[in-house]
Amino acid sequence: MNRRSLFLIPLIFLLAFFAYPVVSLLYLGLWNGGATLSYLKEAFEQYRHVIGFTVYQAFLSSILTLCIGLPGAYIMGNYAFRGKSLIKAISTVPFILPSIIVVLGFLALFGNRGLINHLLEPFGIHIRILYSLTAILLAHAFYNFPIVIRMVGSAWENMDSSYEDAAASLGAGPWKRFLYVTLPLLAPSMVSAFTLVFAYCFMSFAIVLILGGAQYATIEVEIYVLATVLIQPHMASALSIIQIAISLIFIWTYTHFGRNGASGIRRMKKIRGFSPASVSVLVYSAIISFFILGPMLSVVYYSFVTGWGGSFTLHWYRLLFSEGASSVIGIRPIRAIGNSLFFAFLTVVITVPLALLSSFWAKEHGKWVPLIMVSVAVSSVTLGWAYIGAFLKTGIYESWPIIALAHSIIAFPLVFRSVYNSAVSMDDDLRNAARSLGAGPIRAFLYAELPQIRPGMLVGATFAFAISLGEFGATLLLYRPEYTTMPIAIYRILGTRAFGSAAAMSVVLMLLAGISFLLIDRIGGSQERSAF
Amino acid sequence: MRIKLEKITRNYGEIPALRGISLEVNDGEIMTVLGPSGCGKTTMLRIIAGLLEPDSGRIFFGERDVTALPPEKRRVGMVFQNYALFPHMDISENIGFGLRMRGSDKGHIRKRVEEALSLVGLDGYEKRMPSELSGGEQQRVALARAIAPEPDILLLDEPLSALDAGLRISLRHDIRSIQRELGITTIYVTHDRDEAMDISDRIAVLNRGRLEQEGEPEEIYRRPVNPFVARFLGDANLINVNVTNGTARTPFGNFRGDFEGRGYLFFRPGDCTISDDGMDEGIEVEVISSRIRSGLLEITVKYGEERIKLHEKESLARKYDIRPGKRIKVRIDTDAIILLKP
Repeated sequence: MNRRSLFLIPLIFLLAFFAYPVVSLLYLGLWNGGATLSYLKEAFEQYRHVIGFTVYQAFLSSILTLCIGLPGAYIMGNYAFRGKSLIKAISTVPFILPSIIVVLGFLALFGNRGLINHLLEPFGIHIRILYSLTAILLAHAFYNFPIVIRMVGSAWENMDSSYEDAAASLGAGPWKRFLYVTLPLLAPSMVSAFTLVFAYCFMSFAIVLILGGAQYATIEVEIYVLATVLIQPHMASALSIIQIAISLIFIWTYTHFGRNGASGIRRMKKIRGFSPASVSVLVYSAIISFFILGPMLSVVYYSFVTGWGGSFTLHWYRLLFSEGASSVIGIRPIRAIGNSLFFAFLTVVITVPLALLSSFWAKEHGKWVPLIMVSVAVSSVTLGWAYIGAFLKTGIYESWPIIALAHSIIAFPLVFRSVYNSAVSMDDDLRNAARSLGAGPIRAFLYAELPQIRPGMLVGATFAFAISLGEFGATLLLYRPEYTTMPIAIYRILGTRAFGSAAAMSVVLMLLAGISFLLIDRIGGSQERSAF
Repeated sequence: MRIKLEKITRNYGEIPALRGISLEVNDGEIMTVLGPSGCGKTTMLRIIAGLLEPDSGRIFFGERDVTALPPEKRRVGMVFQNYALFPHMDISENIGFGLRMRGSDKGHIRKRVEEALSLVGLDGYEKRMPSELSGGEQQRVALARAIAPEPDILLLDEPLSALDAGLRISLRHDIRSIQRELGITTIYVTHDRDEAMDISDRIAVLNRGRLEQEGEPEEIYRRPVNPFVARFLGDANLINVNVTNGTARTPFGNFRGDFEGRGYLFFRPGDCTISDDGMDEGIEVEVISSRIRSGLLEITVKYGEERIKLHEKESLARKYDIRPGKRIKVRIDTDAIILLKP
């Protein structure tokens, strides 16, 4: 059997657990005894403002993200200085951070009773940015600006200096060089980063749900409300279809802006001592470090005190490991940790082999890659809702496998991308050489190919682990109390205002996410960068 | 436009790249800067272009001190090793870029682009993109782009190193004739001695950031000032000798030197010939190996502890039945021999 035909396995998996639920979603949204557009029309009319607001906030968020990320990209792409790799590492943190932690961190830092307000109290200043558009925009920018630094920064870092040198020798001064040469060469990476950030902000859930408050609902939040509170399956489906359509446009744009091929060797300006450049780098690094580490450290602070200014306590951690079931989440808190690890483990075990088999096939069929990754256009709440529609009457509904499957579908595109990148750059003659030296197909794979793909598989596995750990939207729709995961538990606890407990649980989640982040950074920065 | 470098020094961190280079390039001349990779030749070119600042020293274009002038104000055309054609502009935009930066009007730019393309033999290429061009064509476009704004000085940084051998030879002749036609002062950086010998009015040999020697190609080839230059310009015979009281006494004759102790006798393989059978002149040597390369018979012989290389007509291989182990007599043109300090 040809091993490319092993692609049938991931194909069947994607058909069963992605295509079929999406089709059932289309059925709910477009079928009423016959094909109809009436639900779509109704959704458009009734939720015009929600749709408009979703696009509007995603657009503003992406602009803000670009504004925060571009100076970082400039620094990464032009300067060499001590601590550069540290700044790079810190700026990756938000990307791997579960969104619920971002929410909690913002509450802890900017909340009405957050750290900043307590620090400003003696001066009689009180800031109110939560439950507003500002809060959504800030959290989105914080969550996504590393994408800009990574994508635009690496394009900048790899842009041959000789283009700018040539422009200079042809009479272009610094501004003209930037305008006519640097900017156009960076444009593809900027468009890519913008559209990707836009897609993420467009489909973002936890941040809008909690930080936005009641008046700032996006499509994603509205689908959740329609599906679980108002129980309007047709409207929920119609809105989901609209959301998928808009996301597809952006993801199509993203994939059609190839990274520019203008790569070469770039001379970095060295920064030493005291200079305008070193001061700006320092200021920028300090600002982003504050924005990244501030919320996280605030969460850590609140997990160890009885309250603001209170005494040190391990009370919240003791609650976490206490024997009795929590009245809020219905199970012992420690079981939520176990559940999260269990699902994360399953997600790795499911997605990595599927990604490997898909990559072998996709290597020969490059143009199908976007289709293999099309599930990125489906948000997590929409996927959860589609699963309810598709599997409501089957045995897997309200079971643990359905959560593991949803996590796998959500993680799959990134895992696939990581493995695929390794597979594509692999030299086929390695296997041929192994075969000609007497290795059978299996040993040729094990000894010649696997070592080449292993970094991509490891990065993919870590992504799968981290994504599953942080997954919130689909899980919220599909879980039963006994399958509560850590993000869900944090959300439930937050609802009771027991901030210390939520903070303690978050610290554990951060630690687990942090470990996977360290792994990604160790295994291969370049792999991970191209995995976006 | 004359170029004058005055004691140019540049370090990369702790590593010196240029150590006090002083050099003059005459108006309309093409000077090659020749040296192994890492010798500082590209650094020197970048300093002349203004893309890099020297740590100390001064640069003059004509009478004008340009040391502090930014690159965009120097009126220097530069051809980069990888061409650096702007990938997002078509050929006419690339070539017209310099004129556009200087604020020329569109009609003039179009005319100059056409002229420059015609000069490099690529008429009608205006609307193509750099990625659609072969390496040789890209090289020509890079040259056209550099000369289109009519710069005072042309700098070429290993412009042919990415091309294959045949193309390299024909393109260097093209560069030479275009340079002649424009009469533009040119500095040409290369590590390829054949290229340097072929194209230059004068050659400056650079090694480890130092200027070893400058002069006309023939002079540098024939009369190198040290073993490095001798070897870098071509096959060289360097025979160990001792200089006592200012004289090296050798079987090839006595040679005067201005130093004492160890030294080398230097001559090119072409200065060495096989003696005819009947004559008793020359020294007796043993053939170690022989091969034919580019129509030339290259023989390596053993003389005492030394190896000597000879270049002869390839027909002599049969005439003298040259094979390893055979003893033959060779004669060295003593006028060609010079004594070098190590």
